Amino acid sequence: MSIDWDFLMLPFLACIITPMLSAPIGCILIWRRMTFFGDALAHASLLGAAIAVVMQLAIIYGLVAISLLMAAILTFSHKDRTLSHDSWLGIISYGALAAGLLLLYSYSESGIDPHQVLIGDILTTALPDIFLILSVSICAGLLLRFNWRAILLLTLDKDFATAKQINTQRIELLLMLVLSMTIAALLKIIGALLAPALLIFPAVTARRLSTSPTSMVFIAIGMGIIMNIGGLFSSVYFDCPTGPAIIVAGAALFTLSKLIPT
Amino acid sequence: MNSLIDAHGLTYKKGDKLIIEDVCLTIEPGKITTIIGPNGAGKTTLTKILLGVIKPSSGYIVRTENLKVGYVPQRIKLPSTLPISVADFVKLAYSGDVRNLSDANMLIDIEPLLSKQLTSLSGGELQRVLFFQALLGQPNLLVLDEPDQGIDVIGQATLYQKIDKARRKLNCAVVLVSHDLHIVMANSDEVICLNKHVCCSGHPSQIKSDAEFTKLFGSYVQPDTKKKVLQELAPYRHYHDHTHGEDYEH
Repeated sequence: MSIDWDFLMLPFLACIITPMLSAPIGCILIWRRMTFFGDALAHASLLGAAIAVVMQLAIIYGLVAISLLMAAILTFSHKDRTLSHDSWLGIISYGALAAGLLLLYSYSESGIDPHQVLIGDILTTALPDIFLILSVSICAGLLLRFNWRAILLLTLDKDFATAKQINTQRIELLLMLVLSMTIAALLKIIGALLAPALLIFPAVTARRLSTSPTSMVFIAIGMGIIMNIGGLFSSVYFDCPTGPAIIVAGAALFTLSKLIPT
Repeated sequence: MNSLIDAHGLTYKKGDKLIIEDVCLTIEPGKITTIIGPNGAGKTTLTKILLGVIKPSSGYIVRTENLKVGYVPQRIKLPSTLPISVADFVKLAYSGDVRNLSDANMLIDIEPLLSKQLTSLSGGELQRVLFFQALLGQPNLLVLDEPDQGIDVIGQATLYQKIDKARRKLNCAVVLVSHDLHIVMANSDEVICLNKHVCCSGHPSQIKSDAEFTKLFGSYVQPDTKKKVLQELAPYRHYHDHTHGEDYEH
């Protein structure tokens, strides 16, 4: 089968650029044991996007609003000793996902296909999408770069970081901001349901192969590119949706990495 | 010379619960202060207030302007998810010029560990690394939160020897938090017995005779070890001038 390069050029570009953004964020989520948090935030972003669509606002406003709401709920939930943090995340995650879907299905004149919001469509990537991912990548990259020591110290131990004069609250807020920016940028190509997997999979695959935080980020970027391109071409070849194909490629890569003997 | 830290009437409440109450203390340059107290006495809370990690609910604390603290945390909940070598960790913990790292010839102590992954270290090795990173950057105050936890009397003596060596080298003050109520570092200048409030404080009394030591540790200790232990440890006698209600234990 011949490949239509004119058609695949922009999706291919997206496949190469997105890991520069998703891999470092995924690594931080893994290190800080925040997989579920990323999950909940991505799923909640669906509700944010749906609200923005219904109110005819730019989607980014809905995402910012929902991130703030989620942060407020989670801060409040820390006082609840009868339910654990991950239970609260589960409630937010699926409550928001379901509410967002309901809103999109009942407001069909929006012209937005709920299916596409769930799993995205990298094949319809347009130039503005590439610019969005690129600018968020640069922004996030700079923010992470200049706070890298603080992020790692915070990851090691919060009190230890505070004793080293790190403003841990500021760093936590910054990570939350970068994470919601990232999810907003990735929504178009991978969708709210699968976005967390795009963040996590390259990082978990890189974990076993790395000996330092920086090497893990770079290995994860490589893994992300392999998984994206693998998913993209197999979806074209087998004529199946690209989002799930990318994640399955990621799962295969992860399994492979676990099979390599140390 | 001004004191490094001057704290008055420190009170910390968590919700309705009183963690520490009306604690006053002064940390003088070059002096060793040992804080002892049972579990739940508020030792870690007091340490965090001294370090500036948390703010007291009331009371005031003044730190001298050039205060440089080296901090050895009690238990660092290292995430096994983060791949990091000991060398990278030390560089991360020490924000200053990395060239100074080799100047600190205490490096010998952790040299064989440098290439290891932080999460692969044993408890004792991790403690050595945490101690080492605290000494970097010429601190004038070394804060150790229960460094003797889970080690025996002999290990304790070795540790105290190391602390004393570091203190002399850096000419720094030491705040040592310990859960051991009866044995403290021999050259402590002040011992503070904490149980939510300061129960008593003062110089540790010196060991008077071997007989007293034997009473404390039994007679199974080898003479050499005994000598070493005797040099580094001292019993602390509590002279409490007050009694408590049922809420308190001593």
